[in-house]
Amino acid sequence: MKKKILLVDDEETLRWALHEALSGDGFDIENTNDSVQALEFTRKTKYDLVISDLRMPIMGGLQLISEIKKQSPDTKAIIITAYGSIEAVIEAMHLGVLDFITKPFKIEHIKGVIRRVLDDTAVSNYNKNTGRAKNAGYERSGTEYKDACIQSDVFSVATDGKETARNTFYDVVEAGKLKGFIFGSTPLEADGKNLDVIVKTIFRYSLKTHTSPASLLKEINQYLCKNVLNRFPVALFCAVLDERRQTFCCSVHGEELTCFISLPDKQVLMVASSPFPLNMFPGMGIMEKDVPFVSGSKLVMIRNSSLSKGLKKGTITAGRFRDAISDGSATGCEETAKGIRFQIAGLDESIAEEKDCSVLVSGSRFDMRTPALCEEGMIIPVPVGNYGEILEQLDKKVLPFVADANKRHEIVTSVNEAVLNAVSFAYRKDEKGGVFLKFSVLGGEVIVEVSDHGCGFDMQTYTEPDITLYRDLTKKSGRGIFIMKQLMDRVIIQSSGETGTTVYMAKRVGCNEN
Amino acid sequence: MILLPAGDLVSEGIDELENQLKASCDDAYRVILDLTNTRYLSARALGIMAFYVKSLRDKQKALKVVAANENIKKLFVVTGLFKLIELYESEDAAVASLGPQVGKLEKMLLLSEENSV
Repeated sequence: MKKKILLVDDEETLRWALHEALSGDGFDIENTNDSVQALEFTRKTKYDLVISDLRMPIMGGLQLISEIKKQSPDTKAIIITAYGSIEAVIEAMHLGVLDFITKPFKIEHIKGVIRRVLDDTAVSNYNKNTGRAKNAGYERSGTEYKDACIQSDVFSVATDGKETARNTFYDVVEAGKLKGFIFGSTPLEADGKNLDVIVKTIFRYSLKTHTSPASLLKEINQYLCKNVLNRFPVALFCAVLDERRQTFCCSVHGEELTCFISLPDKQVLMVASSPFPLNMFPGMGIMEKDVPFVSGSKLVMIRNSSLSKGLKKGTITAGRFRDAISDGSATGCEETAKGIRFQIAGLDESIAEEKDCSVLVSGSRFDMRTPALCEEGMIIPVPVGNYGEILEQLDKKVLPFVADANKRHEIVTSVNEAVLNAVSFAYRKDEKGGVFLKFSVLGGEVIVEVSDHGCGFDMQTYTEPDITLYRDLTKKSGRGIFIMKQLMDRVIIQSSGETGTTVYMAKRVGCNEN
Repeated sequence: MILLPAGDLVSEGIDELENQLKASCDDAYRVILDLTNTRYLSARALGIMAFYVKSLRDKQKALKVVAANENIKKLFVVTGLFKLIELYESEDAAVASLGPQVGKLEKMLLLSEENSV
């Protein structure tokens, strides 16, 4: 039976070109330039798919689809847009629109999208709570891990079924010769606002213009930080595979994610990842890595905090991990993950639960809003001259953002520690340079970034001081960071030999003070 | 010995503070650090204070801090230093605490040290 498609667009040439092309592919097409008439059509006929322009006179595409969904919730929808903002596209995805196509487009591209939407439910298949796709087909009762995504022959995910405190979701997009993949994990508190839909929409939208995973995650991170009021950790993995060039690039953020490439010759390559989750600071640096990828390789990701912590802390060596993966006849990631747990006995017991030394997360209320954003910059030249003057300047910078004198003092004290850390660690004695500060207000929080372009603070040598007392006074490392973490709501430190160190810190100051 | 820093103990004043406290370990019987003019303290300054309060205690001497503002007091709390260093509102109160109660105070400090190990 032919699939019925309704095409709604006020651009006549495009409408008829699509009509001809899709009729030739065996679809039953009806078209109209009038959205009100389109609604009449849907009352009389049940369509499998509605393709609508976003902007139309009288009734726009979003309103049309909203009305159609009320009377026929199963009808699938695709939006065509020439000027669509990311907000409009996100709204469309919330309405249940499965994909969107940006004008101008090639007929072959839209045919591919239509086929996928009609034949495949991968787009809307994100799992809730249990970490498995609804029709993934790999669900096996009694097993600890589930293969969450099998729609692609390249990407595969295993999540720990025990970790029910987080939602997981994924999306696979093909754009020409590019294959994009995103996998995310969010706390349950984020569930109410369809955060996964937002992340996937931005991913799909941005993949049309950004082909680098780091820039895709940057777009997502900035959007979340600027539009989600409360901060909670969002772990995201993003990869872009260019099959023509045989290049594979990926970006992993969030310590619970462990990712590796399984090569056809049984070799296993770990993918470098950052422990810092997204939705913490809009300006946070996003890393990406090119990884070797040959035909027949498979990317496997495991969401398991214990495993990641074990690898990070050295409890599980990379060699032992490789042995566990490459040993045996494990083919799917479910078996692989189980194999790892089987072979590394006492994994959970060997890794004590502990808070990441450089990440503090606060707040539990979750709300969407578009906050005001204002920014102020400041540069402190190194070697530092009169520090008393610098303190005065810091006070003046923070004053317009924070009315409460106590909070202001806490922010200045914390910034001061970050500056002193930068001065102490980044530059050799008498070396010239600078410490760069950025103050901003976002969603009721004051955010301060302190960065040097020097050699960087070595997190490997960082030791956490005693939480209750400055007991071990011989260890100087970490005392300033300890104070920052006590006085601010959230602190993240990113450091690398190439870019130096940036300390991101945030403190809630209340909406009235913005 | 009463030490009265002229300003913030963040960068420049810290070396001087360390030198003074070092000297006081030998020269002074009791040290009072007056923070009347000090708005900000750095982690390093707190570390130095913590180090010398222990050094002085080992020599049966004491370091007391007076006139700390509310924000500095909070730093003493979050770092746990309030367990080591006694804070007083004024010099008079600090001096008064030194007299006949010294033996008792030292005993308390030693006990708190034992508990903290």
